[in-house]
Amino acid sequence: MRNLVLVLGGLVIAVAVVVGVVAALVGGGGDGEESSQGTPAAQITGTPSAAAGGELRLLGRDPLTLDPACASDVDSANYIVEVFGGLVTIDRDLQIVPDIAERWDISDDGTVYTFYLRRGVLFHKGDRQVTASDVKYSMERALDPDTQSTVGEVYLGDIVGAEEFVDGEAEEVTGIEVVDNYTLNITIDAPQVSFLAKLTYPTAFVVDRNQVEGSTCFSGTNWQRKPNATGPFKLAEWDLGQRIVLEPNSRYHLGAPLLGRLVYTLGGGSAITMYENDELDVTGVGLNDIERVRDPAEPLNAEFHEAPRMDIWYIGFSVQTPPFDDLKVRQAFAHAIDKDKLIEVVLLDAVVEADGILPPSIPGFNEDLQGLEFDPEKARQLLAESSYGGPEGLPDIEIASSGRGASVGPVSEAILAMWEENLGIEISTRQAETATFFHDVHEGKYQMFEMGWVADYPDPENFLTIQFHSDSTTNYSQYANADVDRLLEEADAEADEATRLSLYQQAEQIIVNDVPWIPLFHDEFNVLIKPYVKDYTLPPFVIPRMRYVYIEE
Amino acid sequence: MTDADLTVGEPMEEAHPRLGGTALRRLARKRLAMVCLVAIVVIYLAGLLAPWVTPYGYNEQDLDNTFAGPSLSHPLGTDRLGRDMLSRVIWASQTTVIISAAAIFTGGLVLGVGLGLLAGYVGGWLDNVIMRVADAFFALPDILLLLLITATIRPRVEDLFDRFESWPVAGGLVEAGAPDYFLVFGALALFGWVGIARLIRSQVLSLRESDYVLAARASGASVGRILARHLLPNVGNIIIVSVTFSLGAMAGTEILLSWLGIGITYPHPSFGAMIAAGSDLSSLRAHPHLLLVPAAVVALLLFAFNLLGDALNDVLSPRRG
Repeated sequence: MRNLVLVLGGLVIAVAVVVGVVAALVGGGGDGEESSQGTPAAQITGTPSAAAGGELRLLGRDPLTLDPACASDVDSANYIVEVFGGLVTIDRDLQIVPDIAERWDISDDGTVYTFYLRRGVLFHKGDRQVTASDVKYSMERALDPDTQSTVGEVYLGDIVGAEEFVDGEAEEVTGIEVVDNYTLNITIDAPQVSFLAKLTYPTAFVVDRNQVEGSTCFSGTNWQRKPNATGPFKLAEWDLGQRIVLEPNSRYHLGAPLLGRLVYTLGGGSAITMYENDELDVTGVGLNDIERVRDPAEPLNAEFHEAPRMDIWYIGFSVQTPPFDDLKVRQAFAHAIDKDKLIEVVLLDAVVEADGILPPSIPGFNEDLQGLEFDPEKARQLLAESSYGGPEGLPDIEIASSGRGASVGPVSEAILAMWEENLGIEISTRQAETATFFHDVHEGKYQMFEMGWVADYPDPENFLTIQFHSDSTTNYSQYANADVDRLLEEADAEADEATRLSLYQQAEQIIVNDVPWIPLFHDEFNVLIKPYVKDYTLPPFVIPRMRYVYIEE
Repeated sequence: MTDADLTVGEPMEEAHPRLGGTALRRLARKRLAMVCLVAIVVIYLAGLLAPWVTPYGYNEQDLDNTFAGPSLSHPLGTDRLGRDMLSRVIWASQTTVIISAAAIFTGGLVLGVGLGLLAGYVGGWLDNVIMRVADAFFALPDILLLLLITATIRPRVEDLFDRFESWPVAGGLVEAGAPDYFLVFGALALFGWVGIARLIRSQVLSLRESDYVLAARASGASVGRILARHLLPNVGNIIIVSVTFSLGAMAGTEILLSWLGIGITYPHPSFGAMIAAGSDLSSLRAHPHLLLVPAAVVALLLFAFNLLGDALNDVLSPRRG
């Protein structure tokens, strides 16, 4: 579950807050190259110069965690994918490719995966090789209830025996079987098309048992300052709130990074000013600057790059909590938002309107999906027909978002004003610090909340099953619909791609009509990249990509 | 002691010049002070009359007309959401007026003056208790504590207000965002009384030894009567000057808290939030009026309070009297 927060605020307020936020937005790259699945993977191509080295300076935010077992947000994942690695990874073309595993076989019934590990994959420190038992240990650690990960079960729960292990009924996950030092069998409970993709998520990444033993997501976290892992970069320095420095792992088995150093500035400052002063090599562009940067007469325009992101911004309802336990109230709220206006005026067309859940760049995106269009008349009528009888009958409503500061940001303020104008409801706001916000959303403490979700891998399962299946631990809306559950289960196991995507589309349409979320928009990268930074890709979600980047002298 | 009766009930009008005719005339001759006074009165009046003088509501957005420059329909332009800047500034003044006036009335006048008079006149253990508490408050960094209080007890204040929501009159107050206002002015009042109380006490310490107080006491006047009729009128100057200064300080603190996001929050307008929204470099470059409009009004208000306070001090100071 790679949750997104604050990019809203980031896009929008573009103040000190953004600076950090931009890091989440930061990418580079340019001429959106269409890959076979129609998934644009923007990248600048070029030939690395013989002389490797050079320093890349970016803006970043303090990660909530650098423990792969615990990562549930984009900020953390951005660093973790560069420092850690697992059996498989996703490359620049968004294909699943070997990492620690050299190759793998899948049994005919699609439930047994046999991974053959690469020999000689070394941890950053010392000369210890990664073996199959390291992989098993790392996955079991992510699932272990003592680790207190909120995501372990989401990505690894399909493995046979995972449930018993999570419930404390088993000593080990029986479905993860060490055959020998370099062979690992993983058995899943039912065939699932996206299982391999789930192993590219940090919960399956390999950690050094000697280092992490005894630590959980919330205690004993000191090792995260010097993690010993297998990724393309080593964490050289993490100065809280100041900077993070990554140095290349020259022994990296997929090819050592070309950069000499990667420096993330975590403190405040005006991102674009720092970029213009040559203190940064890449920066996101906030709403206040976007019009200037888009102007062809502006020198910065030549360094401006746009690329789609595979994500969704939404307002989530807790469908068990009054007044959103009534479908008509949720529909009324959805019909009362003028998304066209919001995106054109407030977000300056820097994002793409969302009718449904799936972003346009993902396989299975449905052009014909019927969204809930802006219709204030209908909204008022629905509210009047609801069990609350109209705006006067509603209890107090509060919308939660992540962040701090005097303003909840123009996007939220615009939406709140639309509700007030079109429905006659005044809603109060609550802001919480990011970690608290995620936690409280997870606990279902909010009536409604604003959040984003970015893909972990390009598959509708990653949006629909993970968010809306009634059994999913990341179903924050507590949404439950038996038809949707059935369609999603069928789709997850369906081998035929066309049938599978059509099942997801059916489920998506039902979900949209039931309004556990009001989809708002799909984000885009709006990024400035210095011309001497080469091969800086702008993938639509978090993948390891820094090892390709180089600085042209 | 024979002529004690003469002075009873006749405080020493001339001992310190009060804000009577002469002093007012002297003040009127200070042009800068008058400009300040006018500015304060205009801002306060606009704030108090906000519902009637604002052309638009504070959250009335017009997404077809964002970032507009000054025009006849929007004299100060519009913001990112097409909200009228003039109306927002006036509504924000109302917030500042309500908070600073409420804090000064409760913290400064009722608590500060009351405790100062008591401590100074009654003395003894009561003086000790009051002044030690004051010392404690004085020793603590007030901004830091204000941050702590407003940031932490907000949910409890909201719960408290929720209980009153069903009551006929109080219910309306809650709807109007009373918890926010209550929290901020309550916190300000908690710290606002110390300075005034100290000043008043020191003045009363000397006044209590004067003949007319002695005479009043001898003729059997109650403590309350002595405080109200004899001492209070004679510390009027101090009250006026320190209230003027503290009103400015209170307004400034409210704006600071709101700027940090723990004072008055959305949907209620405040200068702090407006300044925060307009104050990053990129926004300043692209849309300077978002910052300049609220910042100019705040600067004017705070300067005016300080300059007026200075002028009042000059006019009322016993040295010059």
